[in-house]
Amino acid sequence: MTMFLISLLCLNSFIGFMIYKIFYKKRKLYDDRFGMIMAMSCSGILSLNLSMIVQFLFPENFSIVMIISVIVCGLIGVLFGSLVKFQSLLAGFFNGIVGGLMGNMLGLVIKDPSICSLPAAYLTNINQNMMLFGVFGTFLAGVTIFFVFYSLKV
Amino acid sequence: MLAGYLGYLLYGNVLILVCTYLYLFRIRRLIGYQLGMNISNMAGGFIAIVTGVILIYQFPLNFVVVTIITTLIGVAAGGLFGSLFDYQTMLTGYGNGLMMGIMAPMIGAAAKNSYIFLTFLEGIFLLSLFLLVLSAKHT
Repeated sequence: MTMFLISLLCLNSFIGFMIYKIFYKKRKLYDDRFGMIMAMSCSGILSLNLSMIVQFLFPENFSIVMIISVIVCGLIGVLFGSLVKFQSLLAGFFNGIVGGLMGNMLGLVIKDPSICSLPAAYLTNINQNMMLFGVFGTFLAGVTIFFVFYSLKV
Repeated sequence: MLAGYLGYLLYGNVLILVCTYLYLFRIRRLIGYQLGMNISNMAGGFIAIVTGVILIYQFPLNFVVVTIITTLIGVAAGGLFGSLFDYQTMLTGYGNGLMMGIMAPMIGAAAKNSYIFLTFLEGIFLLSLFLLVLSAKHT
């Protein structure tokens, strides 16, 4: 279980790193509108996914994990946004913070379903739900990054 | 008593959204990209929230499947409305529908089958579609 989550985390970080490298090579080509949209979608989905998986990995003292992951997600948004202009930096920072907070909320609800008053039947298959949401989030990240990468050619 | 009619409510929402899509499809050449970005954000986000709340009221035992289906519906609606105009508006609508669709079943589960909340959301949805058509007409 832990190995599966760690491999998902590495896969997501690898996807983010690769797309950042590709964008860094071509950063002179963008107009500011495309830079803003690229920073918004990339930082949102990546920070949601990363903070959800980190929240799964450390079950105790969730508030410290939440603070650190939200700061790291804001830094991811600033990194993606600073490729183009200050306008896209603001958009990337905002979407990174929103994605980080939402990923933390989703991770906490899946780990402890009673805070959203879901029925008690969920307590038996928490591990299965964690794996399903991790795989689904990684799938969504892959599709989003593919769309953003494809828009370089359009 | 009201739980049998939730399916019809979802069906009506999708029907109203399809009518709005067909209306926008006729006049899509007149709309600039700034308005197109806001239109795709609003349409994708609100249909995702209403669908998520209705589905989690109807099936409270399948949280995972409801979240996945709601996310796909939000992504599809935002992407369709955005692809009326441009590739980049499609990306904007896609991202916003994804965020709202992941969040919506959690709101619905925390609201504990309150029908006042559902009526409020329906009012916001209809008002947003009305504003959308109004702003598209007056450009």
